[in-house]
Amino acid sequence: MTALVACLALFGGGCGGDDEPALLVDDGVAVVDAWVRPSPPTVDDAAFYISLELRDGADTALLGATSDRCLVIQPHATAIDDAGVASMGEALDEQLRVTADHDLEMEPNGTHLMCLGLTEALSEGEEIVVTIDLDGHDPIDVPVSVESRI
Amino acid sequence: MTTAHPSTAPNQESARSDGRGSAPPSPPSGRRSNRWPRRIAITLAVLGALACAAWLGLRWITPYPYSGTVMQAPTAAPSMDGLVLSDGTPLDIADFDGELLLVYFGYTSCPDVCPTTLSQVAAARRRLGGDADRVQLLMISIDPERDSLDVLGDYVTSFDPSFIAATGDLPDVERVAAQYGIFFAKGEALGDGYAVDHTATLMGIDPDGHLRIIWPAQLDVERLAADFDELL
Repeated sequence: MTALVACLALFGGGCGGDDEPALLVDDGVAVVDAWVRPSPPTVDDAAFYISLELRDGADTALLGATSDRCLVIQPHATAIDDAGVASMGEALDEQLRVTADHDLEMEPNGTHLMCLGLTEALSEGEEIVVTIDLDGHDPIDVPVSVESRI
Repeated sequence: MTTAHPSTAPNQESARSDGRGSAPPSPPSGRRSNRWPRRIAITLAVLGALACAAWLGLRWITPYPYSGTVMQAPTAAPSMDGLVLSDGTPLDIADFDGELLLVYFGYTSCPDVCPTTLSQVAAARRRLGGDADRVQLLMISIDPERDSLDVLGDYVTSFDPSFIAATGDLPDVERVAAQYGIFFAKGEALGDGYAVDHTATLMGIDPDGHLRIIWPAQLDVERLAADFDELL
């Protein structure tokens, strides 16, 4: 109920009832974007981009995620140094905070949810569900669109 | 009648003289006021022409602002002998003379940086219309241990049917990468596999076979397309 009230207060009637929801709000945490690229053939891994903002409520942090389309999901971050060398590793706790002064913005060449072991290829236009675990929240099912975004 | 002329002529002359000095006749005044719109139009046309000339001049003397780093003294692109295209034929970059050859060192298990770059190059290439046929993306796999030729071909064509890929034995890949200033090394373990840290820049070999430009990993599709157009 709290989530519904927050959703209506913040976005009027534009959320919750759309056929293609662009975002959802859970106890003051808004999912503002959620997408993944179609998986190329022969590739078993993928990067999910799910961005979160704190609209009201208590500070929180992303603890993890699961999906029946992935064997394992880990929060990762790509770093590109001054020489242009890209490296990837597990995201730092500070990168996963969702607070009034820190949005958790996931984007290409940055923080992402690394899917290790796709159980099925991701096809353009489909929508899959990734369940995210936020500190102090019940698990949240996030609809993630599969799209060739640039 | 004969005295009328001497008496009236000075008066008429005086009247004409007065007319010039104080109140001009209406017809000449009308012609002058009608000239102003024409003069303004001519002035504006001249100013417009000067502005166009200045813009063209600036464009001529100002270097095109590429979104990548341009080589001040372009040299012939290093050979890629030893590498093999995904269709099994030896890679010879001389085969791409007359085209803009884009070279990217990556690997297919790369989940973030590589698909981002390949998607952006595909999008920029589509913006070129007919000239897109003269832009060729070549991905060199720096992970020959996992990227077989079949895997490579299927991977790159999923981003754009025109894309091609090549790889080779690890020593050959290392030699070619070093000649292009590319670093790569196995990175963090990922599940049963591993990530590969690597230089994620995109390189452009111009239609004359010179290594001309290096773009950073963070690309702007619109500017990239404009760069392609300029390089062609």
